[in-house]
Amino acid sequence: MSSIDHVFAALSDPTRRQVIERLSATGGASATELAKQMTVSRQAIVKHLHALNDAGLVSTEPAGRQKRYRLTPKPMGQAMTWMTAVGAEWDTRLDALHRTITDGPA
Amino acid sequence: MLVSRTIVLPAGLESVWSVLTDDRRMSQWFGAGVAIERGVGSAGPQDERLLRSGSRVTFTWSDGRRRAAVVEALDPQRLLVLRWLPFEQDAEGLTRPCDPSTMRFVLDPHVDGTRLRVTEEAPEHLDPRAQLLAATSVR
Repeated sequence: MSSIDHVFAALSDPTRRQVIERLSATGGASATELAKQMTVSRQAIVKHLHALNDAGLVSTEPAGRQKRYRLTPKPMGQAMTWMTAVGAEWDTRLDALHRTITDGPA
Repeated sequence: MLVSRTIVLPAGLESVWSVLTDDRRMSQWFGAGVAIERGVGSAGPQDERLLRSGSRVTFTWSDGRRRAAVVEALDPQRLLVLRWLPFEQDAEGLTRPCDPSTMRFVLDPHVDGTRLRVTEEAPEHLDPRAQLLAATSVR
């Protein structure tokens, strides 16, 4: 996969997009903090952070006994990050909208 | 800066419009619980007659995050424009700023049903907070 494919694959997951949003809003957070804010297990968060790290979207720095995760400005600019995240969000929503329509009035 | 998606849905304009303007049906696909504020005297969630410009739509995510948008333009079965307010509340009720982007839904008749074009437009100055953070949090 090319690096942009890695980026899109990493952003295809709604939880990972939420991690990105959180890191963008807070400027950086530990896996424990993210797990608490998002009510997702720390183990799951760590897995998602690894995927984002592999795609080059987050970087880590030591903070006490924990690692602190931040968004990296690379490989995408801020604008590109917004477009990719919002675009992926609409792909998910429109898939669900299509299902809602084809399932008929519930 | 614009994100745009087009989808053809196997349903008529009226049906697609109801999925965009009925709280319960919108909640089924948006990824958040939707509550649409309607005018005084509304017959309830199904009553779209009183959905109008200025109506507030509140979205609540499963993590307790809450954000509202305002109906900016409305043409039944043709057009719906929602503008995100420039802040959101987290699960603890703390308010923080966020991008006031605009969501636009355009419906057109199509041989296979209805063509829906969704666009989301970001403000000119995207997220100045992030730039501020980047400038001030260098270690």
